[in-house]
Amino acid sequence: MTLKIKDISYLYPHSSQEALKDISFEISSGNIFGILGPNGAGKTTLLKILTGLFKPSHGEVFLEENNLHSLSSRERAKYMAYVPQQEEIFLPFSTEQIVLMGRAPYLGLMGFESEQDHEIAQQSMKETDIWNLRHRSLHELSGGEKQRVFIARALAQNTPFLLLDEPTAHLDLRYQMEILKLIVSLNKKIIMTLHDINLASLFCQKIIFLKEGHLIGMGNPAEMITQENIQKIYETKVHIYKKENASLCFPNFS
Amino acid sequence: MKPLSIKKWTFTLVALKILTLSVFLLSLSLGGKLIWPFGTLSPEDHNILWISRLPRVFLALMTGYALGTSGTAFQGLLQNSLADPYILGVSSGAALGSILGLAFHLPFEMIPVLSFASAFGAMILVYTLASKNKQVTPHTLLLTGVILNAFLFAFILLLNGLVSFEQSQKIIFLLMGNIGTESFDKLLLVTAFVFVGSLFLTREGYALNLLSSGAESAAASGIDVPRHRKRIFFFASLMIGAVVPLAGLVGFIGLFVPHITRFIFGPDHRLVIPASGWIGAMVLMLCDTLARSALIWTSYQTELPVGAITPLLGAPFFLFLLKRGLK
Repeated sequence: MTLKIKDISYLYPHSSQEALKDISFEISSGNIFGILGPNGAGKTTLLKILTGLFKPSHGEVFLEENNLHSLSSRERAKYMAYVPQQEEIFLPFSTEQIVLMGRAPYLGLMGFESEQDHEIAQQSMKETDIWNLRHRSLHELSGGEKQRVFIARALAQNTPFLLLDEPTAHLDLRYQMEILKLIVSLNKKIIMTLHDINLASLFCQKIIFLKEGHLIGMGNPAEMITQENIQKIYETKVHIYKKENASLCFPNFS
Repeated sequence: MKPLSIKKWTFTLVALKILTLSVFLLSLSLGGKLIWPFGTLSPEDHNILWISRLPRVFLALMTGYALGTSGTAFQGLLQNSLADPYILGVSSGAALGSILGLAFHLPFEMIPVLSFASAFGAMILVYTLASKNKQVTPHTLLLTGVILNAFLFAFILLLNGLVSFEQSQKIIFLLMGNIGTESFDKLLLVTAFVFVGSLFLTREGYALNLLSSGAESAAASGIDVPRHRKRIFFFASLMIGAVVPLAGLVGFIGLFVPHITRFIFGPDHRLVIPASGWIGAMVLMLCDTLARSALIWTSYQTELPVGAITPLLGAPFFLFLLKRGLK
């Protein structure tokens, strides 16, 4: 399935400066797509436009032939699943209850789940290795476990696309690796924002760089992560090391 | 907590309805004089039971249901464990509407409509004033509610100064929160409003589950968030608007009944929305029975307003929640 982004601009209400300006690109080949850039570059805004949460002030997003933003929110939720940055859940829902909520776009009026919905939820809990946590309240779980629960909920939504906002934020090294390994093992088209250039280099097949709302470039990590690019985008001097297929960058102290 | 099945849902609600009926009969029998509703009654007992007590117990049931359900809906929607129609200013909005109706001598059929309109208006006003960049923080929301409450009260007191003594008496009762004996056509109208509200709020149960886990996730799961928010505000205000003209400002039921209900049944709103209605109905019928009978053994031949009983239970509970940490 191809996602085509055409001339997207976004202006937040009560803001005079556009958060995104004339962004166009296409996601067709490759399964793991990273959105990178400095703080305030518009990464999350772009991701929220792709989930359909935000409607662009200008431009369109096409999912094959369909305009994403003219679909109903229920229809859209059958194509795009979204894992927000760590969020607080107000009530002590159990892990299983949260994952079952992923079935929302398929349920009837009162929202009672069928046998099949339970099976799909069970499968996505097993895939994310949280089956043994199913009766626990979300409030009792660690950051890494919570992130798995939200990924499982998105999987239960049974969509071709999975969009994640900073899936490794607030996680320690072990959980970062665990979560990213889990994400790349899923049979989905993944679009995620990432802060960590090296993690993007290790896990993404394609990345785009944003700066101040502009699209700076798009390509595979090895060709995009260069000394010149990083200095231009992050205004920081770095060394680039090549390790196997990955380009890793380290800040230059001197 | 296991996920909810239709079987458990049906069973629990039937059980709650039977329990509510039992409490209804109990409240009917208790009071200044113990009267068992089954069996032959003397004409005097017949009058006490069917003319003076029945409408009163029934009003307590309706009011408790409306306050319990709408409290649950507000807490879930606003993700705020201290939200309730009283604190948010929705009840005061309804009271202002009722009092305006009273002051201008409108026919009773008009008053619940006016009361609903101003309750809904107050809710929208509080929400709009408290939101900043489409975000509403719990503290701002409660503070805005407190301020609007004070503002509406000032209005009510102003009106109170302008009306006749008799009307002023009614206003005082409304502000205290008082379940009295009302005529059956008034009760019928209120019941119709509460019934419609409860039907639609129960329908919103699933949406409330998603909304209480964050508006953004809810939207990404295919929920039209603004539409559901409006519907919930609308039907919760409808119920409050219906009961306030008769029962006045009965505080705290809408605050602690949702907590008790979630404590017993878990957080799933498909069940908790109707269940908190029935529990609210039972609690308020019992509180009113207490209000009716508390002073019968003393030399005071009078009754307490129920509005004096509910804060006795509710205020310590509110403080307990506040101490435990505001969410």
